[in-house]
Amino acid sequence: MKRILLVAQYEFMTNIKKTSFLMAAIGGPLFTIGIMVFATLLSISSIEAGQIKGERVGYVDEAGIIANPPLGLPDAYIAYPDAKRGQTALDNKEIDLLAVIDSAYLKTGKISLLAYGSVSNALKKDLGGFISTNLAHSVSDTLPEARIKDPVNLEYFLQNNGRALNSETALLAVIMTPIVFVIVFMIALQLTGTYLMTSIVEEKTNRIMEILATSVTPTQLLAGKLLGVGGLGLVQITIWLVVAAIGLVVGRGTELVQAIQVPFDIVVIALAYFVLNYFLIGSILAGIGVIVGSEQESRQFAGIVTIVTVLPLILMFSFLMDPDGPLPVFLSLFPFTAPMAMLLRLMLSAVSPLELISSFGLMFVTTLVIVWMSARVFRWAMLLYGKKMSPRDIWRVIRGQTDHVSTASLQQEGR
Amino acid sequence: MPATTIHIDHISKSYGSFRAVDDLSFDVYAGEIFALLGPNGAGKSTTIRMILDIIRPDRGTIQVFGGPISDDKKNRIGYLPEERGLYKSVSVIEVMTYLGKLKGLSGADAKQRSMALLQKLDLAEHAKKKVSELSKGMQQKVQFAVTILHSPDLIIIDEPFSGLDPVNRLIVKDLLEEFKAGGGAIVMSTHQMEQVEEMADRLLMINHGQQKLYGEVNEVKRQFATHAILVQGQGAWALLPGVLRVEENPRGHAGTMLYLAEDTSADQVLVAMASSPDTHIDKFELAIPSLDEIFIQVAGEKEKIL
Repeated sequence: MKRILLVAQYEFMTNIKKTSFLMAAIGGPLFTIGIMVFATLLSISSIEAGQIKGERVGYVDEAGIIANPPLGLPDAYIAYPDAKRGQTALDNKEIDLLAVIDSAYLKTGKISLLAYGSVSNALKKDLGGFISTNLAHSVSDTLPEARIKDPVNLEYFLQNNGRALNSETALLAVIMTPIVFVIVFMIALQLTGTYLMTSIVEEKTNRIMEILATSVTPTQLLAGKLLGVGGLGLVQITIWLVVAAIGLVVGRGTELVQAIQVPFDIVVIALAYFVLNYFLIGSILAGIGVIVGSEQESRQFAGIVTIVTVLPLILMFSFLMDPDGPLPVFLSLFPFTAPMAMLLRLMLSAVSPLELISSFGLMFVTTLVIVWMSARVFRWAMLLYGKKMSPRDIWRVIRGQTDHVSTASLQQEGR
Repeated sequence: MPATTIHIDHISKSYGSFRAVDDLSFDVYAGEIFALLGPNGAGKSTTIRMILDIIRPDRGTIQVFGGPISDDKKNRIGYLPEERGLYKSVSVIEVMTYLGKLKGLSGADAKQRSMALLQKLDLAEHAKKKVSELSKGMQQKVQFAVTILHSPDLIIIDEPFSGLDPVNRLIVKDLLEEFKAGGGAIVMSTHQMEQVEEMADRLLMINHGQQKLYGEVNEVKRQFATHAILVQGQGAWALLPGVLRVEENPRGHAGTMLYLAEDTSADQVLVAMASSPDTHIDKFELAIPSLDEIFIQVAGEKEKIL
């Protein structure tokens, strides 16, 4: 155990000091924040620069729908008897905007907006509110105006965890949260997996494995590497979480952030899945690294593994359409896609405890089997140089029929 | 009798139908340099890997320090494989400390010993440099330092001098002699026969996994001595009593080889030469073949049979 920890410590300490790790671990979140801040600033400044603030609005009521006296008239609204006089006022800069309610408005809903420059959404909303208030008044005196203007006030109840969502923004937040989670996990997994593979490939090409083999067993070496590099992954996730927490505090005023709900149970489940996923994918990548022995080639294989794990993201649409459909259910049980698929389903729908246990159990067993297989392959491939193992060789090694494999390899090695 | 460091008893190892090591037995004692010789593919690396418990023999037993190998015993062994390597992008002192810790040293101890060794090997100023910044010869020395860092009782070295210039060769040779004088056992696998003749006490030569020669270096050489003498000078060599035939410059040696009759000793020939007025002797030696010659002879024998 002590040796496993020594290997783990070395892997952790040497990799965490690497510029590439710092760039990815800290640079990634910083870059994301930068983009968000930049986008926000950009939209604010563009509103301020180009859009009409609309303090002074003129209107012409050709349809005769505005009550007399006008109801809910915003302060700066000025009525003009006809379009021509309104136009003159606009040209003379007495008003910033002229709204002409068409004579056929009740049939067509047509309102012409005239302005020098673009019109902000807030202004359009104001105008809409003004008109619907007056329309509502002409429909009924008894019905509350608010119900005529806003008849459907949806409140969502997702039955699985009783979370109430009172707006569409909240629904958006519910969809986005698992995606963000999944993406952060993906980045961490990708980074750590690459480090794991690179370090194994390096030790093999540098032939340092032969020296290590006299101090640690292949299983100890593999275990130490998985733990040490896994620690790097956790550091990375922690950095993201800290950044996310800062983001939540800074953006706490906005509707979207208020709607974000990250239930504690889901965070725990997500972390458990991440750990299993790391050991599953990590041991596969370690196996690939030790077999292939070249960084470039092993990256290609790693790419294939990654694509399988992000399949739920690619098939996101089917999760949104029907989170309990056959495809999402299958993906949430299949060990290689289970972490992401299950996370998406947990947030979007009601997942029965049995399904959750099955998914987790399947993944746990698969991970154990893969780690065991990887350790076997590792033991044999770590000292083989200059010869590639064929899939048949690998299968033999896993089944314990190693004699045939070594003959060819060692003879070729010029032992 | 020095303590037995390695005791190998009838070990065999096959890969499929290929017999890499075939019924090999030998001992290595404390305080000696033991040479493991053999052509490429003879089974040397497999034998070393079995001693180090990287692979297990199919048959036979291996005892190290008086018993089966264990994790603690592995900490008493230093190993420098032929295919050498170090972490390239890490500093020299970090690599050494890590490998020292894997051999059971504490962090501080490993660091202190590393610095002392680097000092000895004239590398102290490079301690903080990355391994990739060192020349190949320097890297070789660092690798050697790693091998002896944890003060092992046994070191196993594949080609200890490959890639070293004469100055560094001497430094490493002195360190090996020092290690031996301290009671350590050295197993040295090499193709450089002159090094074996110069340094090794005993040797084992294997070919096709089988023992070919085993014993003290001088004894082995004597076994291969032909009943002949090599002379340089002037004289009617062929006419001397007891000389069966002569050969000029045999096997690349300058001089003349005199093959003697079975009942004639070298002393008798020398007396005859001294009493012959026409004879002038510059050099007179028993024709003991070099290890190189023995190696070629032994390695070649099997080829002829095949």
